Amino acid sequence: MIARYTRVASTVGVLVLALAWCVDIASGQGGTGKPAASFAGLTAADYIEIRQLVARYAYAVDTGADNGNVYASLFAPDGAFADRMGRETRGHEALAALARRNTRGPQSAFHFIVNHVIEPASDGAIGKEYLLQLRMGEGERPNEVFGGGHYEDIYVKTPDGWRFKRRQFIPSEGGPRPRPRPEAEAR
Amino acid sequence: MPGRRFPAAALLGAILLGLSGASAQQPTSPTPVLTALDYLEIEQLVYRYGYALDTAADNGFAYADLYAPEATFTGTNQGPSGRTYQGRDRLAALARGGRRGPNFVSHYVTNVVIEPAPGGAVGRTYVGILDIGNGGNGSKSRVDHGGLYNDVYVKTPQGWRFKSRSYFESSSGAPVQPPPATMGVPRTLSVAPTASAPPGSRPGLTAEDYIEIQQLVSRYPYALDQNPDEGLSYANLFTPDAVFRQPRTEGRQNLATMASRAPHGPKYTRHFLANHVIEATADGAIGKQYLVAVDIGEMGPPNSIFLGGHYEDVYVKTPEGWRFKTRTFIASATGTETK
Repeated sequence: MIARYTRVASTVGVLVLALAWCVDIASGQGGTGKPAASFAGLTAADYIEIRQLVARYAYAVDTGADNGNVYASLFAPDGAFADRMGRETRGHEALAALARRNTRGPQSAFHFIVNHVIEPASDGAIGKEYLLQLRMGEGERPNEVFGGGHYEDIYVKTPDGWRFKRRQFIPSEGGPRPRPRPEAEAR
Repeated sequence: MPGRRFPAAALLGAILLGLSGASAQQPTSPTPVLTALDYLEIEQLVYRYGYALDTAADNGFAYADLYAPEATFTGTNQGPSGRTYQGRDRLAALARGGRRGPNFVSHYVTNVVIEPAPGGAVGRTYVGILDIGNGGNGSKSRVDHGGLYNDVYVKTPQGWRFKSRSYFESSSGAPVQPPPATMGVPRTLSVAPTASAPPGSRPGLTAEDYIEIQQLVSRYPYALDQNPDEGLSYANLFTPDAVFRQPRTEGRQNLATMASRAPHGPKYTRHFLANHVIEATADGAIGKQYLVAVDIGEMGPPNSIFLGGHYEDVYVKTPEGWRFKTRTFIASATGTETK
């Protein structure tokens, strides 16, 4: 691996760097310089509780625990889940039924959720995460990456704690694969 | 090859073993006390990295603006001795240089470990770089590659930023039979208490407890996969009478031996954790996380998923900080419960 990179590095790498430099100059654009994180309005406890809510989601959806009621209880009473097509499932009963349909078994681990970004919003908080779906321990089938994408969430603080007001799943969709790859890509 | 690998390994070892040594060139900077909010804000910075890179938002400047002025990104896997990018324009160009899209996800970051260091903080994370097939076009999703980030963070007037980030591609070492381990003194995982939440003043867990337990769990994969000290770091994550299952392994000496029999190496990343739930109990806390163990960089075979499932933990607060009292792995399985 290292040797392969070594061979291409001196020629391709310099070329790509030079190209990137030219593109950069040509574009002449700057960013907005937005701050990376702002916690105005959210305490450390809020932040931790929202993290816990999102972590619990994975178990609830994979196991369908308590007849889907654990999943449904993560949402506010009028909360909704929107699937990859944008179809909404709203309300406790419908959400519990969704969890019962989607469960993969009480011992399954399918939804891996990382990169949880949280921001305060006017009436609560919003957030997003990456989702990685992994098929593992499914009989004779080899373990594999099923797919992934990201969630976009709206959270609301209820008397029972932070809950999803809305969660939408958006499947991953990449642009064309640039070439040459390794030298141009930030890892 | 060995001649070239040694300096890289030595450099990595120096960073991994002495995280605080990363800023050793600044003897005048005091080591700050990190609050729970500092940890959370640094984590937010780390999590934003994936979005900024995979979408190249703001023409790549969303990525560049995660870095402090004069900060650097180094891809140690690029070229014979790595390649370093510095400056806002250069970093933005870097972000534009890969496969991108507004909904593209590829950089899955987890196992975030943060420590105070002179002038700010240092950290490490795992990154799995995925090739997720586009919905509908039939392409197969897979683990493309992955490895480790080594970070130095600095608090700027705009918030925490990367001062430097270096990527190390995962590569497996061989399992070894360890020499007899000599148990060292466990390190304390400390988070500065905040005035608003003195420990023990209310039932349940404080923000500091949550952070410390998260940091405990995030250290687990490093101790196992990189195992720089014959399993000592691994064993010291547990209480002296702790039990790991399966295989049932009791006590630090046995845990150190078990860890050292697992494949490891200074750049090996295999155990990716996610979905960490923590709950207070009468005498401590319990928790659970998902695990996927990925074989990346095995010098030949394609990347593959070794196993997956979840851990169930019991944590206890010792004089050295939070530790595992029990840790049980339950493999993922569909259908009815088999445990």
